Amino acid sequence: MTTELAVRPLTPEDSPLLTQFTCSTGPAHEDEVQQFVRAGLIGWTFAPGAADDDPRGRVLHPPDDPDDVWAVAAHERLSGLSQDGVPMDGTKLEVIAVAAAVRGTRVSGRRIGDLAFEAVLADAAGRPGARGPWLAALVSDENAPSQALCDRQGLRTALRAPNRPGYHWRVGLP
Amino acid sequence: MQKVDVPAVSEWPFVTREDLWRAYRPGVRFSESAFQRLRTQGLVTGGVRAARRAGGRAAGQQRLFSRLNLLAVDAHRSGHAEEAAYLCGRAAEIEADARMAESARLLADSEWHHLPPPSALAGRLAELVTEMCALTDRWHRPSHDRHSPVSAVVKGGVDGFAVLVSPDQSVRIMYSQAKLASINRARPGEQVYLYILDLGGPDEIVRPRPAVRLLHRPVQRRGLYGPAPVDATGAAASALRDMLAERQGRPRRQADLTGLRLADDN
Repeated sequence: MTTELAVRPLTPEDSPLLTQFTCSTGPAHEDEVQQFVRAGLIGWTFAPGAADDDPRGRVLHPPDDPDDVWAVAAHERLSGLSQDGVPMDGTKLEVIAVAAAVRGTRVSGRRIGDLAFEAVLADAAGRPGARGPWLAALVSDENAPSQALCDRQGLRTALRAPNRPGYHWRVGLP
Repeated sequence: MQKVDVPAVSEWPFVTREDLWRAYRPGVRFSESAFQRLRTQGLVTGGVRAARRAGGRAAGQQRLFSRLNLLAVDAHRSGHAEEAAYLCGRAAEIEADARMAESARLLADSEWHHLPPPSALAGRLAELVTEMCALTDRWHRPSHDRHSPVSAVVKGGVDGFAVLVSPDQSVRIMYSQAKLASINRARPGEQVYLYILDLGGPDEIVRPRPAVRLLHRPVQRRGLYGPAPVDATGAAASALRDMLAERQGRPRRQADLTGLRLADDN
């Protein structure tokens, strides 16, 4: 039984691994996440010009097998949210995706999604150029597990995005 | 899910009068009469009127100014009247461009309250702003003449100083990273325009200004991934402010690493 997961940086060389990553069990909102991990995450992280947003990808895996991807997580410097025109500074959770094969598994009594969140929190805290305190994630209105994760982790304030019907922001100050 | 490659504007080529005032009198409360005096003295341009709408109805208006006005103000504050006048003239030409008026009209149609984050741009407005960025930067002519702006890139430095290097490597200047951070240009790879006043002998005054630049990154325009800008107003904004105020002084939550082993480069 795995008692801990190792966290390593996402690299461009992970592209073949990610094209095989499965986190969806069928619903459209899960397919969307899976498609992004398979086809969009590497480009999002490493595209020229992306560095300005400080994108960071993390891979969670059993310590003895770095290619057995149990979860992926990614974050970047928050932009696009403001209050009365004042930018909200902090971290945007771009994705947390748990492999379907290990969904429901607990490691040290903890949900894998929560472990991935903590990995993001730890990584974001260490970024140079100090990010502000806000933490935000865009979630599908249909994605109950994502919303539950946000609730557990203190991202409880919902903001509607005018150009994104069917989705909303969850923000918080963990 | 649509995926398109579009240049992502990192800075608006327009500024508001508040931006100009902050450049002219940092830390001083805005004065309408003083700002109007800048205009009558020809130190800033007339700007372009941008109406605001809310709920489909007129909700006031604001003027947008070419970002070159910031440089003109900077030159004026540094005592370079001739250069300030030149930049102001160029700013006026940009503001006379039909694309600026169209940009202002599209902003009005989007019911903006404050200039949205440039990463949120889409469609025709994104095209226009990208073209305006290019037009703005075209007025920065790399030159090594005295008083003329020199394009430079921020290189990594040491002990709080970065190195600013011109494309042909002929200009290399050590500059305070803290001061570069004040114009959001402290990171290696950032582009700035250097205003260099040669005082003769070994002395010179250097003032970097941020360049308007474009980024290129795959951007998705629908679904979960891609810009989804929100400017919270009213009760929502108040709630967020209250959250922030309540949190002041409390240490940030540390990550709980139970069950995790981080790699060395974390």
